[in-house]
Amino acid sequence: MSAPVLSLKDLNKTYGPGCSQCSSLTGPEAERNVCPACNSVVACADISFSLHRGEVLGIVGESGSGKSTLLRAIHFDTEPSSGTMSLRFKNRNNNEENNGLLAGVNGHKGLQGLDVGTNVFLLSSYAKRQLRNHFMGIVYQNPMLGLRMHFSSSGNVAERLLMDGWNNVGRMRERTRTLFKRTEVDISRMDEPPSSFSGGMQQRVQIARALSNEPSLLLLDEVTTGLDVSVQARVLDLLRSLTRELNLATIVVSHDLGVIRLLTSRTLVMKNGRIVESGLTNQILEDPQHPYTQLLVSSKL
Amino acid sequence: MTTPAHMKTKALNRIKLDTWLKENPPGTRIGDGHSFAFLDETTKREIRRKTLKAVAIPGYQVPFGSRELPIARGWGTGGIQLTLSLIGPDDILKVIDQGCDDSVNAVNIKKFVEQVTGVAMTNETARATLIQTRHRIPEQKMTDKQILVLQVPTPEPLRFVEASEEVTRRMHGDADYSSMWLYLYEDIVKYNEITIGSRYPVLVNNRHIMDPSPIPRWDVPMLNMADTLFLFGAGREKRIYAIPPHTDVRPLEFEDYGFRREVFPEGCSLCGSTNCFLDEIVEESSGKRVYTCSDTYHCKRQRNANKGEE
Repeated sequence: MSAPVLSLKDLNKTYGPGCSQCSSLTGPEAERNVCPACNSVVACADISFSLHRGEVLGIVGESGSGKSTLLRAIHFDTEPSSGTMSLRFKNRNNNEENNGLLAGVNGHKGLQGLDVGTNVFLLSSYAKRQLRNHFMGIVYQNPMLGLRMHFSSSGNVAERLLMDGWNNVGRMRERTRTLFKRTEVDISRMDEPPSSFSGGMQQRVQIARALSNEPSLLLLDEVTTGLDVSVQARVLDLLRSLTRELNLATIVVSHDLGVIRLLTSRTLVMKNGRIVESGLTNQILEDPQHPYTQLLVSSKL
Repeated sequence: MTTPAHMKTKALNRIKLDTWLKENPPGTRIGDGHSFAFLDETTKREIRRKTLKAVAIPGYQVPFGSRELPIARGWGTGGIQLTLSLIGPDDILKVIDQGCDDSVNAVNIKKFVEQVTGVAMTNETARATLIQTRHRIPEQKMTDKQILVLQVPTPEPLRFVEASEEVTRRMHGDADYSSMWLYLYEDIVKYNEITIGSRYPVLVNNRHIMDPSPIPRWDVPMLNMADTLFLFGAGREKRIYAIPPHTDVRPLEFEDYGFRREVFPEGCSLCGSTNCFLDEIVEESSGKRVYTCSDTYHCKRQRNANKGEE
């Protein structure tokens, strides 16, 4: 089996000063994630997992269990307190779309090759930005976070291409049209701002944007929360066929077990910043081992 | 009824001011109690140090302690401070405002610098060692012996797309310029062309996107691989930046929507020049549009050359 697309080891994220007792005084056993000794919030602790190409991993857990912090750390939106993450991505020919007007930092331009096992958390912010743009696509629960509401929808997709050095407007629009066709966004409305779209449409624009650079890793943060049920079903359907078709490594964060069942093959259950159970999704849903998972599954409507 | 006391004082003061103005005509008001070039030596040293830093990092905006001058901020004080800290007794200064040697702004700056330094002034581009300009680059090609100082109202090119200074600084640090590119893309989507007239953003040395000050697009290519040192001073915004000689400076453009210079339907009505930036003037009597050179010295030189030919 080839190396995983993403492997995460001992990720910790603590808000506050942190102390030596943080890890022993918080967690599912202690039923809290605020350390009583130093009042730090332990959002994620000792998170390790790896993800292969084509695999869809679900992360479930109640509010405050650290699942969104974990996703944000992977997406470089927040800096972890400690931990290592290594990525494996297909090296792309940089010159194909390389705009000579793309600015570089310290003589480096665009994405640099990475040695196997490099801890990407330690890269410079420029390198992280490039890596994120090449390697990851994210869809947020709230389209306000993922989209520029007052720019055109096509511009929202083009922004990621521009970041990658595309410099031909015609070709960018062609690529946007292809993506919108696939994600079922009305092409005649491609230059309207997302603010004039419905919630489901906005999510589709976000998905198109996330996929614009052919990422290796797709991150979905509660993508269907807040959509009505029929729209939810169509967005989920789209995501399921896209992840299969593009053979993407995908992380689905949700508190909705229905979404997890539909999309994922493997699941992590999180509580108080820790992984309490992990395994095949079917197995976890049919035969939960940890008391918290049992509660979660039994309380599903 | 007698005049109240405070009004008396007011009248008295007015008389005093009138007298004072008569006794001190403009041009004599700055006394001898200042050092050469008005600014004190420490200030000049700071500005020179910041200028060196700016030259070392082409296109990067270096913050500096902009000083008070007898001219209000926003009237070219950034350029003046650069000029004053660079000028020496042997320099020859030319000052232009939108290409014009004789506009009020240019004349006043010249008078001021002349008074505080005593250096020679000129209108001839080739003769000047130092040229301070507002919103134009002289048409005549400048040499490696000359320095061009440009006055800058808004040094931050990313202000088009981002209001926060904290964010724009981080964006420059990360070379995170996609929102600037997106701005150009949106322009094309809306108007089918890039509509930026002056202040056209340029990429300097493949690193920083820079505001070339509100020069017309016509002047932008002159910044690329020039022999001359270009210094930019923003007094109100307290920034200095530079383009050293022989630096790669390219306007942002797309493959299929390239950067374009202004196009004029006819040549200069005075000298006939076609290969220079022209001002459009509407004749009030006839409503006719005529064009004249924006660079007045260039126009004069052309006219003299035309006479010579005849």
